[in-house]
Amino acid sequence: MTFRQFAFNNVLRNKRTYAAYFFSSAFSVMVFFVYAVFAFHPGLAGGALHSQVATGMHFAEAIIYVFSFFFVLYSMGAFLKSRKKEFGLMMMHGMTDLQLRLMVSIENMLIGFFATIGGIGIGLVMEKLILLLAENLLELEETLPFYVPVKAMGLTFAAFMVLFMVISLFTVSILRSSGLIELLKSSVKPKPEPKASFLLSLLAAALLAAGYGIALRVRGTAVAAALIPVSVMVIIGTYFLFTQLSVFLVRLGKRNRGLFWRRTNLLLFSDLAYRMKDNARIFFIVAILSTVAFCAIGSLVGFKSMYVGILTKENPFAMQYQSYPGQARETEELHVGRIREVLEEEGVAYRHLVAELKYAAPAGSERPVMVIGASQYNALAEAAGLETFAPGDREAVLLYYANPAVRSRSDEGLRVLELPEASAQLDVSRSLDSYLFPMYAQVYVVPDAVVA
Amino acid sequence: MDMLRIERVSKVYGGQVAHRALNDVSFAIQEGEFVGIMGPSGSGKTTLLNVAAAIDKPSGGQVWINGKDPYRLGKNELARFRRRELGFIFQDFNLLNTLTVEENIVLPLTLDGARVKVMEERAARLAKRLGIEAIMKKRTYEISGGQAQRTAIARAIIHQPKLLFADEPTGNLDSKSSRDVMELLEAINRTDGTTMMLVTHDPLAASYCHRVIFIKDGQIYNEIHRGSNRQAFFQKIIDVLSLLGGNAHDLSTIRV
Repeated sequence: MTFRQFAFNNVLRNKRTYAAYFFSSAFSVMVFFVYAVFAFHPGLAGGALHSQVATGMHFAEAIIYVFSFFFVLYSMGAFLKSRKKEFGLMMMHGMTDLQLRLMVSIENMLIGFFATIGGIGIGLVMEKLILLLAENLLELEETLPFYVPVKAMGLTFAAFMVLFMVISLFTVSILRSSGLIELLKSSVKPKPEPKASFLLSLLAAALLAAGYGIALRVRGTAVAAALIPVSVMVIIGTYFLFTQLSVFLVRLGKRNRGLFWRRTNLLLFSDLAYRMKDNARIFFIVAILSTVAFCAIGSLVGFKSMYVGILTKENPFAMQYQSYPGQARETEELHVGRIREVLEEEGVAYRHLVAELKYAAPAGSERPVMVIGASQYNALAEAAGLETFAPGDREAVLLYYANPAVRSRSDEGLRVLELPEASAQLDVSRSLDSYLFPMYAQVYVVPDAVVA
Repeated sequence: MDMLRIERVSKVYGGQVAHRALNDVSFAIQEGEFVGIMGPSGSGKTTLLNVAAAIDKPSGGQVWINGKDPYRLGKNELARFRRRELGFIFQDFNLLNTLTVEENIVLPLTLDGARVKVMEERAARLAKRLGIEAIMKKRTYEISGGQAQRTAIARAIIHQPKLLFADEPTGNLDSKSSRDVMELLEAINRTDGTTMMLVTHDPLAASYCHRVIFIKDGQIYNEIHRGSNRQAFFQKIIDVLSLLGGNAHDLSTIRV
């Protein structure tokens, strides 16, 4: 038996002990791989929206990787803790630090290798299911066909091999600190009773309540401002929920003998406190990991519906031709004629509407304003399915454009529009939100006589 | 020459109430000697063994094994020292259950990087001597307690250590297996000249020693030497133990 055989036998003959660690590793590989499959999908390669989806997925991927790291690290820590006595025995028989590191590293790489292969394998089997889920969830119009995700496989394999290698290095420092007697005695050492602080438990409840409360309450632009404080509150709250509040509640339950001393409750409650405390970090990581994954998908769905909404709303007309001052009438007519020709050639039914927006210099304002005649506006508004109106002779209406993405408000216009050029004085009687002219923040609709 | 020398060793366990497990203990074991340590429960026997075997650092005093202070050796030196010069036998055998009997036996040599051929030869020779040839390919959960302890002994001596520590080696065995184990240890001590330090509260096991040191409350209480007659030595041990005021169960009267 050489040293290498010894390390291999240790894993292969002790599958059950290693199984828990193996499966938790394979699970995180699978989560990572599934995201990579989606992010690298050729169906998502082109188009502005799609590249955003892919960027979002890669970002989520990075977060998943970081949390996978901690997840595997803690699984490894728990796994090694259960084997302390074994390590103590080996050291007692003269195993050097280096040999111990080598053994743990070989084991870790062996498990890591198979966990990566296994995780990718399970991921491949589930691939089509996940793609179907993504199609429906993100309301993608095109279907995402099954493909052999070579890139995703490569990325996952490389990423996790590096991860397991780095974790091998970490684990050695976990072991190094403890002396031989601690290693040998670790299995018989009684565990101290888990304790919870009342204040921290209260804090956990308060943070979670406040965090989710704010998240449910905020509307509009406040969402962006609340994002980071709410995330921090919820993350801290979640951590204390598992490490403090859960233990605290179990202890509270134990105090009530009528409940605690009833049948199996006695065992359940006394075990639960230990289990909670032992696994608090894992629970915390899994909770945050799944939250990140769900939020990433949720945000993508949100962005998608928002972009589609803006695109269709802000472009009520299928085609626009714009001509600016300085362009000769003839050229303009030539262009419009060409467009008509093409449309007719292709047999497309169309309506042709014209809007003439003019700059006017109002008295008492440094900047010129944009004005449009009421009849032209009404023709456009009618075609776009918007409200039409007929301003009186001395009346104007302010149309302002509010960008749904940034919600900038530009409804503060002039109260009185005095146009010396047209020798007209108009009361701005109404102002309303309109996306008919997204190029301009403010447009005034004035009586036809003023612009004639 | 002293194989093991313990000088004014004390061990204090910290905690909310400090507990002094060993208090100013000094003794020496000569090369080739077979020494037993006895005492009531909680007297500090196992602590003494742990301190002497370079497992648990003493709070004060010094330990010399074969002229070296193991607590002053570097980590790698200490590992090499352990696998070349020390052997260990425990009450609960402490075999590695992922390995076969044969693999368990050759473990110290494996760690030392010995050649496979050499390891196989030595393991085969030891198996024959200890009567465990038939179970060499078996896993540890397939063998009896007596066989497990013989395997542990084989593992403890395969690298021909100078000093062998045994912590209650008969504690988990029936009387027949206990006798086998003690006769085996005596034979190893006699033929190989291996120095032995045995911690036990079984007077029968202690009666195989050349000398028994009694400790009580972390201090040396008495020391008795064996003459030519093991039976008389056994009686002397029992007398000291009852004088020591050990609890009744420390004297296993069933065996007499």
